Amino acid sequence: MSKAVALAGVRHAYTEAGTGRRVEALAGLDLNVAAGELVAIVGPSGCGKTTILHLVAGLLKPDAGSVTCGGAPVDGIGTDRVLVFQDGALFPWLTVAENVSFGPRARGEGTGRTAELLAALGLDGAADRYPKELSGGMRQRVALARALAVDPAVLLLDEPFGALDALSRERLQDVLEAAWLRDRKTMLLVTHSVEEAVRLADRVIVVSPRPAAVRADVRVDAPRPRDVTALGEIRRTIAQMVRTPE
Amino acid sequence: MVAPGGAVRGALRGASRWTLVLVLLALWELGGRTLVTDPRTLLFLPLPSTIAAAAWALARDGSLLVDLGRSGGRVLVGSLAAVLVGVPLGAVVASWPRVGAALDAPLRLVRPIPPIAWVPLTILWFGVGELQQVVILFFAAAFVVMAGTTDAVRGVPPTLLAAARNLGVPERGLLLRVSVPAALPGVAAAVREGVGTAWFVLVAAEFLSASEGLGVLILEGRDLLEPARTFVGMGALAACGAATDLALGALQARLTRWT
Ligand SMILES: Nc1ncnc2c1ncn2[C@@H]1O[C@H](COP(=O)(O)OP(=O)(O)O)[C@@H](O)[C@H]1O
Ligand SMILES: [Mg+2]
Repeated sequence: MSKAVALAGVRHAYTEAGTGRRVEALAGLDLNVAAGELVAIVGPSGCGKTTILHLVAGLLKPDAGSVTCGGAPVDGIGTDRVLVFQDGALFPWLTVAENVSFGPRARGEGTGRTAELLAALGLDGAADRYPKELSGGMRQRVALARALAVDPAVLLLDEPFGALDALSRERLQDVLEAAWLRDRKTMLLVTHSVEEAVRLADRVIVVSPRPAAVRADVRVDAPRPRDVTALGEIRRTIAQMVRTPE
Repeated sequence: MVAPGGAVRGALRGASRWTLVLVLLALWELGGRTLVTDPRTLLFLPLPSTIAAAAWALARDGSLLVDLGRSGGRVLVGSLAAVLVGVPLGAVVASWPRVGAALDAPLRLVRPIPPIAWVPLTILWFGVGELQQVVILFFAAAFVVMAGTTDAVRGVPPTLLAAARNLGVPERGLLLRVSVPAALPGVAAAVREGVGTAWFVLVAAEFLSASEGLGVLILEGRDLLEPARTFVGMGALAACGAATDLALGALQARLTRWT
């Protein structure tokens, strides 16, 4: 299968605002994602997961190494790789429908697949509401629909359900899985829930504490929809790896 | 959907806001009539009915309208100029850090100078007249509008800008598609505050160099030994300030329904 996303020997360090100290987030990370694959990244908080997504999204540039998407080097932000932020980053002055059609309208393509996406993600009844009138789960549905509306080759999800209660979280996982089964988009899902990773991903990448390096690459072969209780073994193994500091 | 009776209840709630004001006026009137016997006291502290009569007289001979028009016009023009200058300047200062840094020191020095301190110079520069009056109000309001706009534009969440770029908005499109709407609530609040400041500074500016206006009416109460006029002027000022603020508040709510 072709490589949709590839990171090779990627290094990235931040300069701390106050002290000027260098914080090394990635020190030579290698990661390959095939086209149409749903890959989850799990690891301790602060290890560099967001940094990985921001590099692929083009929000950040690597200090060394290469980041490619569909074989071409990533050069800045592009609509072929869309990031879904943890809090959704919805535009508060736009209604649900206007948020979803934002991308197509920005490119002069009318409202695109907005109607279809609203229906698919269960947002029909909320089309004319403003984000502040929505629950956390609804907001993340909008964020997902808004990203899918520009039809990116790669969808980058940064702990998209991290702030939700258990019930909404499960429903949103179903929504995401359905969207993936329908379009088979390449997805890179950062999550701190091992259960979520095992439930949704073809592969779970476990990264080490900062600077992030790939510690394990676990293939999950169970058929979908998955019953996570039946995947206890693999969950325990991964959780164990995330916890131990090496 | 407004429930039946909702409009009535809304109106009642609107009226009940003013209940305390009416009660206090009634107490003032009754207390004055029953407790005060010395007519000199009633001259210096006139009853609401006396003030109302003075207001009626001033309204009938047209002078109240002239004063209202003058003062309202000055506030309107001064505020409008403050918005036209303050909003773009605030946006530039917030968007271009270098401009912001360069302007920081001069602004810090000029800002603490009370607007009224500019009266002598503005009289020398512009002469006594409407322009001079308006310039004072402009100074007062422009700083408020500009500072509020700067804060509002600086407060535009970077993730919204990143999200918009990610969804295909080109660099030059970000201003209209993201920065302007995201900053709008803050800018609207700043404009409202600026107009309030203009009303606030108005009287002092008129005291010093105007021949018509509510400030002049307030002074006349002393000069003509008719304190009721002063009360009429103060009451008119209160009503104008409150009415402007309510109107701008309603406009703000309409423009930023999503907040
Ligand atoms: N802008 C920044 N300036 C300085 N340090 C940062 C910045 N962003 C992230 N970091 C640091 O880099 C490390 C990795 O961050 P991040 O990729 O956000 O981790 P994760 O998403 O895994 O929690 C963390 O230690 C974090 O504190
Ligand atoms: Mg993170």
